[in-house]
Amino acid sequence: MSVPTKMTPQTAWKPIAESQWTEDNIRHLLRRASWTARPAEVKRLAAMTPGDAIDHLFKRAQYPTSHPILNEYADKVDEGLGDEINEAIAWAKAQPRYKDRVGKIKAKTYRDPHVMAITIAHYNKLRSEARNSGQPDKFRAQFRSRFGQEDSWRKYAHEWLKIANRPQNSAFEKANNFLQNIWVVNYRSLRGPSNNALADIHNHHNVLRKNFYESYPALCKQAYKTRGMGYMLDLPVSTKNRPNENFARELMELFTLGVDNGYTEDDIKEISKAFTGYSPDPDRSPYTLEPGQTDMILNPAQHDDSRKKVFGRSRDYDGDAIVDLIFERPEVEVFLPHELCRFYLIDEALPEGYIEALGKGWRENDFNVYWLIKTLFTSQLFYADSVRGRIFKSPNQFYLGLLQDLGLQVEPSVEVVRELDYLGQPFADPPDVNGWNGGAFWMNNGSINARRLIAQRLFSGDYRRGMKATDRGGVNYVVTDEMLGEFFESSGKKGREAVDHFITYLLPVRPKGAYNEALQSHFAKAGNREDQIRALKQVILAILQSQYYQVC
Amino acid sequence: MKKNPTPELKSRREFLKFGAKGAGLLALSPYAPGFAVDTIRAAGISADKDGTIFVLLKLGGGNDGLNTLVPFNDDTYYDYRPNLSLKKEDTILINEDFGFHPVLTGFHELFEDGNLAVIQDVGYPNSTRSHFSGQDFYERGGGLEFVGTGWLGRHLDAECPPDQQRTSDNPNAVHISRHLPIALRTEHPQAIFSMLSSNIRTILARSVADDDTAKLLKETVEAAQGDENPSVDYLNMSYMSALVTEEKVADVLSNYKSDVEYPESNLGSDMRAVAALITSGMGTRLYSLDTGGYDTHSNQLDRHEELLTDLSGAITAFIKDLQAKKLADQVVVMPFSEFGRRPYENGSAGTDHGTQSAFFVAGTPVEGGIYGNHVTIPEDRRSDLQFTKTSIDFRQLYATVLDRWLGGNSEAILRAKYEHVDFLS
Repeated sequence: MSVPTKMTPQTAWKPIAESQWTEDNIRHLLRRASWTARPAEVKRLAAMTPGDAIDHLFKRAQYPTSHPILNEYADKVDEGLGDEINEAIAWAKAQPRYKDRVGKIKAKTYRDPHVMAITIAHYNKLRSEARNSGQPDKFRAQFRSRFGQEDSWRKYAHEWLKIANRPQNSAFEKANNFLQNIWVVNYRSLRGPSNNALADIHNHHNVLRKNFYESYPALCKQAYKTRGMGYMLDLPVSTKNRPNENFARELMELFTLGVDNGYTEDDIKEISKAFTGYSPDPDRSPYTLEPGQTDMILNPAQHDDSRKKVFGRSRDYDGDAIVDLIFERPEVEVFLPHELCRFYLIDEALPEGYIEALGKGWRENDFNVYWLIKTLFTSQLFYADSVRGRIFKSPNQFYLGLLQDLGLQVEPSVEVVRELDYLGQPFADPPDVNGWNGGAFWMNNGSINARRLIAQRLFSGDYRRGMKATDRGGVNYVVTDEMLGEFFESSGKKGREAVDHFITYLLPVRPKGAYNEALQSHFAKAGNREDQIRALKQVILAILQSQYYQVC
Repeated sequence: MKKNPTPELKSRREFLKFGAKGAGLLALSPYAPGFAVDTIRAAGISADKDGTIFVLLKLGGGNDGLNTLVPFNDDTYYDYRPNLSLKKEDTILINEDFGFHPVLTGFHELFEDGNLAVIQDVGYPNSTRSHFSGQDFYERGGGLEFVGTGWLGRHLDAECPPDQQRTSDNPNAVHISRHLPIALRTEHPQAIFSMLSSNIRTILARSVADDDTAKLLKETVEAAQGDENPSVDYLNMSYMSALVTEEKVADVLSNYKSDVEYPESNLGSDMRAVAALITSGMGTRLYSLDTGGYDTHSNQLDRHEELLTDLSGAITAFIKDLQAKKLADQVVVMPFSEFGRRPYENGSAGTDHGTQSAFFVAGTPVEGGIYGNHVTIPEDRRSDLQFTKTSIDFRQLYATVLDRWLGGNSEAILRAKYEHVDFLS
């Protein structure tokens, strides 16, 4: 990529001057930090200093302390279990592995961690018996959709869309998408009738949220102690006698250092010994955690407390100590900054020295995650021309940005969650622990096709069955001809100005002259008001479906 | 580290790796033009109307091999399936040991003509009974060592590496499904065309009847060609090929006259679409389709009958259609399913997830017949079919297709040597 003349790796990350705090630059900031640049938000930020504006943007999102869908799900499980709880407890009393837990039960509900463990074990036993006996499997329905987990998962995703669509939450949630794509826990790995995928992923995400303003090493030390991450990378089965290498490898390859970047296979083997004995805390329920609380603990009996030789040093490292060791490596300075730049800045290699300079500053600031984000968004490099329109919008970005651009709310129907699926980003479910590849991978003719269909549906008043365009509270879910007509009247914009307005409002870069002209001449053909409104709709739709709208 | 997908938009690591060696065109410009000039003729799999064609069809859910290829001499089959087993006289006899499910009349025709290979006892060792993991395993062609790519995707990557990307308006692969199938996932961007369905309105992204907007979009997309912004320009390639190919495809589909009747089902419509595309001379060599419903835990007799009627009808119609057009010699079709089903029926008039199953490969290039060895239904009724030395690993089928049909290198793609099965010469 090209950088402004005279820019160096050292000056790139210095903050912009007040004179550079223009509305154009603020729009660029909002398109990247948040889902899009809404005019009211632009004006608000313009009245602040750049630093205060970033702080304002990245205020912690309001996320439910006690998530309604999680609660609803736990209730559903209780209802579904019914008397099975008693059966399970009776069975558990005779099981060496579970009989002690029976005495610890405080309430006969799935929310009790001991009841949860016992009913799951009991269910597994019944399922195995049913399989082997060939008898009518009365648990067939439960096996297929144990307590409607898929249903609740969709509802949870739907809730997330609504939360993230609120402008005051957008930047924080987008940044958490970034973290979630590093410390990946995906739904398909955790789903299953004997699992608590919804709760575990919810809790894992909350740990990331909680540590957003902390140092990255502190975040790492928390993030591996969630059940979600544990199940994802086999921590609970990594024991002194059989250490499992999955977590050790990915900790370095995917979370802190990058592929083969400063570690050897021997390091992996040794590190995996340090990560033995971490397993779910039997006394904590995933349904009753405080937001950001972890629920894995170190079981000394299963932990290998011998000396491990890592990076040439030797001590009886445990998991946290390994994290500290990793952050002494020089290579750790570039990994997260590189990923952050790929996510927010440009999907291209920066010139030599730039990431290194940022990484050095990051180390000097105790590897603070928010420092990295704030530095990026106030930096000279971020506002360089060559960076504009160089990020392909992710499906989340495209969809939520589109809603915010059109002033719409997320539809009441949970079915809308499928939109993300069709776009290629099913909620919290990348294909594997590597996460979403992102960038140009979002864009193929199928996903482009899907984006076009969504834009059309939202914009053309194409309602889902039973849905109204606007609810009683005046909340809009799709754009109607009336809304367009109103804009036309109230904006005072006519002719070329109207078209130009939307080009500027919707697009992150100024399109080629020929492109603008094609739109203008289409609009110019319209005669009366009705024709003009129709033409305007077609123009806006063409813009939303264009290449320009897919970048930011 | 997350992958950087576009050859010219490199991660720092890859930039260091490729930059040093000089990746041809890419080393010269910071951004390679969308339609890279190709002077090196890519072998194997690029669009070529005279090339060999392979159609992969996923049967999602786990097809019950035992009721598809019925072993009527095996008493255990009848003992274990008092309700579900098919009587010998009801099956379509194909030899002294087996009969097809009664509705597989089309398959039977193909078999009689020597155009259907039946391969017994196909699976893999220590197979999973999980749909997701099982499908992924089949689509990747192995375990997590292949995470991120599919077996056909790796073939595309091998034949069309990034510095030899072909000029083509014609896609190298087409899939008809909601998402890009894992089997077609590639390391590098490839010219793969996605059809969300074979419904023309969906292909053209016309959720509402607005031809004017579509026209305007096409005009404006053309007007945006050559934009200086490299990311916009990258999209120009996808857009133009999407719009151009979409229109071409929709045109081909709406004008297509098939010489046979296809089943009136999604599968029938999809296979007809593939026939149409092949006939049009578009040159695409790889097609991937997706159908489901094979997870017959309950009420298997009725459901399986419907599924197999559709399957047999669609594939047979497809081959006959191509025969009428004198194109059948170029095409091989292979359905696959993530596992077979348990011999012992369950109490819901169905079967549970199992292991090995019978596989089929259809097409005039196929050496018809029955391959492999009989399955042995275990004595322990709680057990599944065991993968033994005489069983066939599904990767043997892949290797056969890759090496003998697609001009590929199965050992490199599957990272192991798998013995061929002689259904292709």
